[in-house]
Amino acid sequence: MAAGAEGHSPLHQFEITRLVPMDIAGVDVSFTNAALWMVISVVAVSALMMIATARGALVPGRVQSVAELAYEFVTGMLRDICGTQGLKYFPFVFTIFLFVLTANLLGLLPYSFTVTSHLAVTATMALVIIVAVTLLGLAKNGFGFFHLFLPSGVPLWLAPLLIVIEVISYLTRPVSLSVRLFANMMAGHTTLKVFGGFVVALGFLGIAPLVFVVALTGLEFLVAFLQAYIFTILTCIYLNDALHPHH
Amino acid sequence: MADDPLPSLTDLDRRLKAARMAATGSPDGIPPEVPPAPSSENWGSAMRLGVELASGLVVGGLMGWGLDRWLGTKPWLMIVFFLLGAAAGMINVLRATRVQGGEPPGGAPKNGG
Repeated sequence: MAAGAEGHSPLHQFEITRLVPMDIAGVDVSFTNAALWMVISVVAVSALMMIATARGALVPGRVQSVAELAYEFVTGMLRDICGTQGLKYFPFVFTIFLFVLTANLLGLLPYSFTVTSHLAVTATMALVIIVAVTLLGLAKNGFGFFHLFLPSGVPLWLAPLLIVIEVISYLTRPVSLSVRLFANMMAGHTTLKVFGGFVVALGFLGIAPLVFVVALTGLEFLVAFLQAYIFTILTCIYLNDALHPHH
Repeated sequence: MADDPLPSLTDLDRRLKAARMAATGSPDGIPPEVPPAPSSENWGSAMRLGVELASGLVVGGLMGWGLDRWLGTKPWLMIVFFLLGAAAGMINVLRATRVQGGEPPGGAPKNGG
């Protein structure tokens, strides 16, 4: 995690490199390091779940405990926020949670690449979530979905103003959802790199930033969990709005 | 482990059910109305707020800018929508603090406007 031997800039870690250049009809679809780490995340999660569910022991082992904890954590969250109707969408929410969490945690490995520190990745996920949730809300409630933009009990003269504000507020969802995750991951990893650079530059005195980097790494673990948690809980809240648009 | 559970396990199951019933009032251990766990909730919502406020401004400003370009009303709509975006950001923050990551489905009013 410390700065590389060549004195890389702290932002070097976010650079995307093409591993297998590919080009389909003029569109650059190269297999990049970002794609590689996404694949690694998916494989890691799948492997964890397969190993965990392979035996299905009554008294769970370590791996099975991890899987069960994650499962119960997400189920509880979904049930608390969306009620039992929300459990139908558990696979979607669970996938999002595990993917974000794994990508965040894998990013903490030295020499790895943090997929979630790229706005392109988080924005894509956020847009998929928002579009899916909006379509779901329209399919479930029809026109009633638009109650979301006009809370009941609002005086009529206030309605035009309020609807515009509510629409803007709705449109901020994908922005805040994606920016929060990406900004947190990027800021954390940049800070780590900067202080890692100090360790090398200061020589013997580098002990102080080294201690700081150790503490910061712990904090980054917290942030990795927390951001996955926030991303998921917001998905649940938006899902709840789609299922129950009446305020 | 065969299909018929061991007697010790049936006993354990019975005692678990009783304990859960006593603790939460429902046999599967799911409390009917759980207030969200406070500690991680607070952390989470605290870190949400800044981005909520800023994204309202950004979206409002961009919307106004786009409408201005489309309708040719150079600065005016952007100013108006920037202010509306600020209001939307405020509403987002109000909701984030008030709802605290979840409400009972169809439950308490949460309109911050």
